[in-house]
Amino acid sequence: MSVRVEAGMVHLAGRCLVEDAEPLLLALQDDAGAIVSLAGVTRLHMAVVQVLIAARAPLADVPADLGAVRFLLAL
Amino acid sequence: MDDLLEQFLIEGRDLVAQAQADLATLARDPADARAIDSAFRAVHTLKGSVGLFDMAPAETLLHAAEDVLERARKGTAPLDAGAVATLVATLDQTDRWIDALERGDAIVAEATAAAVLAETAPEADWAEALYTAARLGDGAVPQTAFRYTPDADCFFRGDDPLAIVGAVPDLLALTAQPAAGAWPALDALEPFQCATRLEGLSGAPVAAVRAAFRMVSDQVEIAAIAQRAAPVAAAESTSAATAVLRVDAARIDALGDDLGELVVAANTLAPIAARLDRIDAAAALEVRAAQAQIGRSVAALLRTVSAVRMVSLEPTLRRLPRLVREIAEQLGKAVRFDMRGHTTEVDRQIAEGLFEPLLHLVRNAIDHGIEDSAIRAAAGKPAEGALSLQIAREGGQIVVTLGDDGAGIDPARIRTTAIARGLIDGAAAEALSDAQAIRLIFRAGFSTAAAVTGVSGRGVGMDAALAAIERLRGSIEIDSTPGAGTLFRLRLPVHAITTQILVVEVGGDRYGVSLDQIVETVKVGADALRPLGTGTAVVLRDRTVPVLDLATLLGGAGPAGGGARLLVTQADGALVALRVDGFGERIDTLVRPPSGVLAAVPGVTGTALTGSGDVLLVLDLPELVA
Repeated sequence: MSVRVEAGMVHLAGRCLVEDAEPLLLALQDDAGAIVSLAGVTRLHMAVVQVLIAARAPLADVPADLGAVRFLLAL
Repeated sequence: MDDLLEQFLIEGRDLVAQAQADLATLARDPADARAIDSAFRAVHTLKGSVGLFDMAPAETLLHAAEDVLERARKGTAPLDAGAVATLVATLDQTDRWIDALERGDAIVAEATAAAVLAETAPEADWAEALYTAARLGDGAVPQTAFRYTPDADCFFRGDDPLAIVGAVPDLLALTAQPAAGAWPALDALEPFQCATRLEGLSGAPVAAVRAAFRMVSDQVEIAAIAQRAAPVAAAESTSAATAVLRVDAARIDALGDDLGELVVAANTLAPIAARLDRIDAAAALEVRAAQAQIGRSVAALLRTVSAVRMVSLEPTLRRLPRLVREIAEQLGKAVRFDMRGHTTEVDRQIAEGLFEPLLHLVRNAIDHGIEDSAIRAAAGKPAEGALSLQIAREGGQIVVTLGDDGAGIDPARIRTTAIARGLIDGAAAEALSDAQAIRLIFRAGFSTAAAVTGVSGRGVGMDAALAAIERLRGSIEIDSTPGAGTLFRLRLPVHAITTQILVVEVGGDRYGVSLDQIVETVKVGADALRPLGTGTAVVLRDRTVPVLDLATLLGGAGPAGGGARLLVTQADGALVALRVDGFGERIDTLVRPPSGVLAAVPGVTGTALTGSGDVLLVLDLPELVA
């Protein structure tokens, strides 16, 4: 389980694969203004990134080394 | 024939030849950066030019060739022998198409040539938009754009589009767009369906990007990115090219000649004003004012025409690096050649006349200057000899310096050889300073090579090189350190249309002398002239300079006694003073080459018209003194 929800914060960690997209989406549906922390994320699947972008979720602690994903989250 | 086409047939073939010459170099050394650059420029320009004609297959092929060279330039895909051979085939094909264009035949794509080169892709508007919007880092040059629309169910199949994009080489930019045009509301977002379209830019060529997407090729569009900023100065855009007017060089020459006549005509006003002075001072003043104004306009016009005649030395000298390699190879010597300042602009006449003598000096340096590797190793020098050519502008002159780190010139050996060749006797040889002895290599019939080699011994000696440079009103200085190398310094005028002439009076006649040939003019008292051997000498700034009488040299009577006016010139590297009766005015005029009977008279460069319409013989001092 890579998705952990705190008050006002959603924490992603480790390898975030396709199955993490749904819990992330549910967390953001519950709290539209939640900040998503990416501290400790080593990989993001397209499905997860798609949720982050579509929800326009504010991000925190974006790791520097996420390969191609860096272009998408830098927006 | 259409002018544009006519021009293209000339230029296009030039560019093909240029690129082929570079490829010949690359066939020997595929990493030669200069050749890669040069071939790239030629192919790039050629691609731009074929675009003006109905030559789409050529454009496609050259575009692919340009890609290959561009990758080699950036070091992402070095050339190998196969790639060079393919490029040669590409240019051969282009050459055939140019022939076809001239005959009016249709340009038919040759699948064989096209297929061997890397894939290309058409350019696309979306790719351009992507490029425009992308915030690229410094030095990022995208070549390929991709638009990847993963199918909606791809997540179920285990695909991660981001992982696929992650495999694109040299990814420079990536954006995620909603595939449907807008992102769905969060409540409506289906997390297991891909609703994203990824668009990105890569610095890698089309083929490499296509390879990264080979598993999902049906979901990807790939487009080539047109290069924005010209990557090299020579690669001008077609719109810029239309602003350049190409004029037949002969017309510019004619313009220069006419202008020379105008300069002469304008000079006639000064004597008129002088005569008028005695009759009507006020009118004379008006004539002078008019003369000054005409003079200024003529000077401005002269500068403009001179500027039009200025060309870069680059087209002339671009063959040189290859020739150096060829000569070195022929002689079995290892030579590193370095050329700087070859884009310096000079008058066309100088640019054209410089190459042959310079090539001779280069041959000479490789043949006689640079030693064999074994000798170099024994002398503690790097095995590879260094030959450098530097061109710089100093005021109204260009200075061409050719230096090698070879054996240098041994004055003793030169003396011995010159005596053996019967060019000079032993006593005279010993009387020469080392610097003067070295200049014996410029004597006709001199050759220090024990065996006449195929390279240097072509019947044209250093004397021919010097004569060619002197015809351009230039000079050659030699600076040699035995064991450490030789420096040849060529000085040439930058402009060539008009010559500044000093009028001198000798034995009741007036002659012109080019200011280029005059080191200084001095007036000395009778007591300053001292006998020296059978002749006369004068001490100028602690140097003893022989004095010759110009009237005697011209076959007239000797001078009267008393003080002397001396014209100091340089001949064979040494100063010589020439005694004249008087100095006249300085004029800026056109020197016409001698014709007819005059052409056979030694010591005459040509004729010039003075302001008053007189014809002056213009003397060639070094030749007279020699």
